Amino acid sequence: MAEYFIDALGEMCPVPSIKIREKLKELEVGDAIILKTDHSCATISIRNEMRRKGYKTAVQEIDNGIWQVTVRRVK
Amino acid sequence: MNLNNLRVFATVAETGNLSETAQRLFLTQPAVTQQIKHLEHVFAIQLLERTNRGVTLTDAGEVLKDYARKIVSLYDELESAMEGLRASVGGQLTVGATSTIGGYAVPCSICIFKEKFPEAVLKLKVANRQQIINDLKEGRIDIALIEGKDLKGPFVACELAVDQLVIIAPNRKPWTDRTSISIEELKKQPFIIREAGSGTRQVIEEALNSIGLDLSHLNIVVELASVDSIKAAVEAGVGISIMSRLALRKELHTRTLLALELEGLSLEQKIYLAYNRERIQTRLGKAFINFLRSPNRGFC
Repeated sequence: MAEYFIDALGEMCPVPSIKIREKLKELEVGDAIILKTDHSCATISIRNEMRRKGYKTAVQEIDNGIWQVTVRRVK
Repeated sequence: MNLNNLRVFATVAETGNLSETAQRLFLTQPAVTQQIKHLEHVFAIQLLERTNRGVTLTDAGEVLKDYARKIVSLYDELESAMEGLRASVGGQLTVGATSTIGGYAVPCSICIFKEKFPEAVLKLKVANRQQIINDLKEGRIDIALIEGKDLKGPFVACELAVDQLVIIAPNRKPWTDRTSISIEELKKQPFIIREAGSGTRQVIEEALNSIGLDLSHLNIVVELASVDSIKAAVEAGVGISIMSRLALRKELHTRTLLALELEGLSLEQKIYLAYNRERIQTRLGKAFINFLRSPNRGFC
């Protein structure tokens, strides 16, 4: 149940999505990636892409204009 | 017989009602009746029966309904396929953006738009407000995203978002834990300002004017032409500045900079989408405009 943190603050689309895609390769079942971004569009595109790929995602606004996206491998 | 006749008939068949059809197709009811009559004339057979609750289809009407639907939807499909091809042929668009949003929101919008229109070639030009307005006037850019005050000129402009400007200071003494600053204090503090022509600078000037002051009342120590260099200078302790909150999310979250409110003065700027009224937009241009204006736009 490892958790990987990615700081994508200040990075524009598609950089946050690419960083997640890179990390997915290392993800075992139960592991999660937690990414911080200040771009709302990145949260939407990551959520859509990860759901399509069968990962569990959650998005939380942790500060004014800062989102934390959690992507967990469940199968 | 033309496609419009069939489109009208397909709608009548669907609604079972002439006046509703007229409303839906932006026609008058006599025009709808006339088109149906024309079809009846062409096929030399009655298609509709009028009842007191509207119209019902005759057997011939039922047959025509299926064909009309197929033909109309096939034609719509053809049209959208052609549209896709046209977009891919003339697919180049130059977008201009002012520094604050050009360095923050617009690149994302372009990236998301590109996912939907992979054949499109988009160029982004980032400059200050005055330069972008000039470029738009002279046709060097097709569409502009501009922040600041209302636009004047031969432009169609629509508001995309409202953005708040705040005073920024480094997160250390004497600023730690401060949340606001008075005008008197602002006048004394070393201040960093954007270059002339910047939308942010214009907003600051107008806000000062509204309380009877101008830039000469501020203690301006340096003039810098980019958002990033101002952030770095403020962080380094050169002075304080005023900036869009949009450009500060990261620094405010990591607490390298502090946002202070200016007491008694609200600093706001609008973000506009603008294009030249006299120039015809390409399909790609129209698609980009619609994309930015849509509620789930990629404009963050």
